[in-house]
Formats: sequence, structure tokens, C-alpha cells
Amino acid sequence: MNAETKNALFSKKMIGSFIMLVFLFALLLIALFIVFNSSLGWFSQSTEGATATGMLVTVSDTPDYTLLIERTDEFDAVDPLNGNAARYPGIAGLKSMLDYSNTGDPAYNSSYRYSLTDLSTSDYERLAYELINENVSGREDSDDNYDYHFLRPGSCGTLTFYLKPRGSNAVTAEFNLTVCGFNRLYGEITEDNNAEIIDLLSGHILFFETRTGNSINTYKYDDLIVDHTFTYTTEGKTPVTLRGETCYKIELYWEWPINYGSIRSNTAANENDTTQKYPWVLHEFVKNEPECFFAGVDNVDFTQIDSLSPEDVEKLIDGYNDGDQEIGDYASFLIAFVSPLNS
Amino acid sequence: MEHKQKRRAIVRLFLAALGLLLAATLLSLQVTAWFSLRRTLAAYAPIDNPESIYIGAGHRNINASGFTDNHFEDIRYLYFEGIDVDKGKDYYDYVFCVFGTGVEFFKLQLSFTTNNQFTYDVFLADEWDGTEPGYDGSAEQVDYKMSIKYEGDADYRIYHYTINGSALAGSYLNDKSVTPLLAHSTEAANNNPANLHDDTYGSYERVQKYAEPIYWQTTNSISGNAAGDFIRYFILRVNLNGKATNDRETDVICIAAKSSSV
Repeated sequence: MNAETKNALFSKKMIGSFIMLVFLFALLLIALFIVFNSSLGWFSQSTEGATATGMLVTVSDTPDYTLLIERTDEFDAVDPLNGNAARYPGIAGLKSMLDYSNTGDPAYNSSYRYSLTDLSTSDYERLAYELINENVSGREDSDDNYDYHFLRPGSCGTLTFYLKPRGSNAVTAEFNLTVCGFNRLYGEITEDNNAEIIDLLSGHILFFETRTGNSINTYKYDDLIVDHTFTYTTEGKTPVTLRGETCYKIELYWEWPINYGSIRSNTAANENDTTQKYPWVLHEFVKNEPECFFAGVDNVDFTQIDSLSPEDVEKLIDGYNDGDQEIGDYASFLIAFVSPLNS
Repeated sequence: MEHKQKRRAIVRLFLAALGLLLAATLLSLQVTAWFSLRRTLAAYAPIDNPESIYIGAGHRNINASGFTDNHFEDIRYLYFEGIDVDKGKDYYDYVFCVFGTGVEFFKLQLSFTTNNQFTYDVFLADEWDGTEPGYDGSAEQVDYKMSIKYEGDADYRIYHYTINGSALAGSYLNDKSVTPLLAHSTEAANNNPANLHDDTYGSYERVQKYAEPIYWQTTNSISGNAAGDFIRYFILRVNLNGKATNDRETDVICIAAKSSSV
């Protein structure tokens, strides 16, 4: 380059224009970036045919991941051997109580909004779907009509949802889990309107992050969720492909222990004991928060829970059964809420 | 290029870029709403009604949806009164009911002492409140007069019951003999599985033989309602067997209902 061209290139005007061009280019880049991200948001809206079972529905979007659930229709099942009678008698009436659109129901409350069928409209705060109940058989009569389709002590099952990361990095997500009930006359059971039932539900319906064993008789649980939070990381986990989506399956395991005797006999003896059905954390939970397990029990020293007299153990057994009775009397539905905590 | 044209071009380009940025920002604001979407998963499942089963004396109001009120007559209002040998009747009928929620099947159990040598039959009963058509009141009926008035009523309501079918089939669990009717007593308690003396009296041995209760249970289950409230009425027939006198011993009878699986 000769001096003339150099001068021409690096003159004030040229530099000014050059800076202007760079500035414009940067603006353009920013604009493109925003448009690109917004359309990504649209791409992650997975929807399928309204009546198909097992469709994926978006629950939450965060900058790091999307949550998806799969709808099932087990509660609508009929028994073809019994004139197509409902497997869950009365479920239609119960479900209509939860449905956001049923404003005529006495239990309707505009401050909470459930959708049982919705795909992605932002009107609904709570996307409601079926908790999977595995332990539905058990009556002496093998006829399917007499099975325990409704939840009762001894029931167990899973709560499943899916996490789809937005980028390619590992994602660590923190979730809140709370359990509440729903009364057929009064609607949602809360700390304010019935704290005792909320306590009992949190102790009687236990959620674990880990479960091993092949069948109901051999299940062994770990990682009990006690403080209403649990964390999931995709690091080291294998994703699944579900309806064309690559996502990570997050599965929680729940159980309603049948009685206090089965808790007392099958809980780990100390922190290091991993041979029992229930982990040590459950022992501590019972000891520190007995109001979540027993109803109407007085004069029992829970700090000595491992060395109680037989009479006191009987009191606890009765107290747990009374807790079951109170839950069954007052709550028509169990509802487990999961929501993301971090961004 | 002329500087003026250049400047104009750059200004236009700048305005265009600004416009694009504005549009993109507006668009992204729409999508930022999705970014802050924090809906909650709510996994739900219906909870069973706990089983409840009760014995009552007489009537309780019920319709297709379940019990309509809490008014029922406790079993203590079942009075075994009016057994008068001089009237020449062979038997006396009394009404009781079994009611509850969520119990699919149940069996009835009786246990009674044998001082008077009464025997008992249990029948399913139909209720008539005196108003429905289709019942002419001619079949032999047992009347039950409520012991507690309904709110707003001037008088005690009366309900009428008629026997539906034959006596419920059942069997004694611990009969040593049927005539006379006697339960197994203290002898051979260890070897005889039908001897319920220890279950009744424990280690106490000096029990008069007619004070050993006989236990009886229906063979078949009676249906309740697995999915909701139910009430079933029964007539308990006390058979005098020609042996009773008016100046008589006291007998005790217990009526129990127990849910069963089939």
C-alpha cells in the first residue's frame, strides 16, 4: 500500500464510517440472535393429537431446560368383563372438581387452576396428570372388579416427567415437591384450612428418588424427599427418545406404607445400614416429626423411639391407622406438586 | 461515492437496523413470557374411602348419592321387649340394620347365651315408610318406632318392615349340642378347635354351662356398597321353642357385622 491509499483508508471519515458499519453489524447480530431464540421457543412447543394417550406436554420453560409430561388415561379405564363399568367408580365426578373450566362445581376456586387435558395455553397454572398407581391388585377374589384402584395404605407407584436441556451442556435442576389433598366438598386442602391433613399426607405418602427391586414385594427405597426439594443432574445420565424428543426421564417413587409396624420393622438401623426397605432418613423423620405419622398420640417420648414399651408401640400403631382413617375420611384426591426452583 | 450519499445510505441502514432491532425486541418480549412460564406439575390420584361399618337399631335416610343426614338410631335403641309367653306366639321379630361406607361384602355374627333356649333366625328385610304405592301392607310386618324424633317432626316416625326371603343360612361355630342348645365349655378346651371358652372367658373356669355363649355366623356374605354409602335392614326372629316362661333367666345376645372379601 502506498501512502496515499493509507491516508485515504485511515482518514477520519473512513474510520468513522467503519465504526458505524461495525456498530450496525453488531445491532444486526443482536437482532438476529433475539429472533433466533424466540423461534427456538416455538420449536419446543411439542404438541400431539388431543386424544392420543402418552402425548408429551410442555410444563415449564426455563433458559436451561424444558419440562415435559406424558399424559395417561388409566383412570378412565373400563372393565369389558363387567359391562364396561368404570374401574374407578365416581372418577368422572372427582376429575371434574379439579378441572379449571368447571366453574359450576361447589369446589371450584378461581385462585387455583388445574388443567387435566390442556396442551400449552398459559391460562393454566397447574397441569394435572395421573399419578401412576402400581399396586392395584390384592383382593382374594381374582376378579379384577375388586382391585384396589383407589389409593389406600399399601399403594405404591411412580411420578414421572421429562427434562429436555436447551443446550448441549449438562443441566442441574432443582425442584420443589409438595403433597396436598383435595376434598370433595371444600376443594384444595391447604396449610390454612387443614394443617393436620397436610402433615399426615407428608408422612404417610412418602416420595423417594431411588428404588430398586423388581416387584412390589421386593422394592427397596432410598433418597427420601423430606425437605420438599430434590435435585436432578443430567451429568452421567442416559437420555431417552420419546416421540422424537431427546430428554432425560426423571422418575420419583412413592409409597403409602401399610401400617406403622411395617415401617418400624423395615427401616435402617443406623446411617450406614442399607439392607432395609426404608432408609435411615425415614427413622429420623418419624422421630423428629411424629405429627406427620400419628394422629391423636399423647404421652409418648419420641426421643426414645427405639426403646419404647410394647404399650407405646401399640399406641403408635393405632395412631398411624387413625392417621390413615383421617386421610381417607377427608381427602378425595392426593395431589403431588412438582415445580422448578432454580432458573 | 459521494460523502453525502454515503452518509444517507449509512443513516438508512442504521434506521433499518434499528427498526429490525425494535421488531426483534418486541417479538422477543412475547417469547420472554414463555421463558418465565413456571407452571406446576400436579400429579393426582383418587383416595379410597376407609371402610366403615356400623350396626344400628332402625331406619336411616339414604338416597342414590348416599346418606342424607346424620340421624340414625344407635343399636341400644333395639329393645327386646314384649316377649309374653301367655300370648301364645312362637316367635317375636325385631328390626336392626347394618350401614356404612365402602364395604363391599359383610357377614353377620351372633353370639348369645343359652339360658332360655331361644334360637334365632335372621332375615333380610324390606322397608316401607307407609307412603310408597305397590305395597298393600298385608304381608306380616314388623313396625319400628324411632326413639329419636327428626327435627321439626311432631311425633316419632314409624317404619314398617317385611321379611324378604328365607332365613339367612349360617352355622354354629362352637355347639356342643343342638338339643339342648349348648356351647362347648371348659372341658377339652385344648384339643377341641371348636371350643371358644378360652377366647370368651380366658383362664376363668367356673362358668355355668348356659352362660357359655354360642357363636353363629352367616355362611354367605351380604352385599354392601364398595363405592359409597349403604344400609341393609334385617329382622331378628327370637324363637321361643315352646320352652319360655315369663318368669325367666336373662340371656345376652351380641350382634356383629364384619366386612369380608367375598
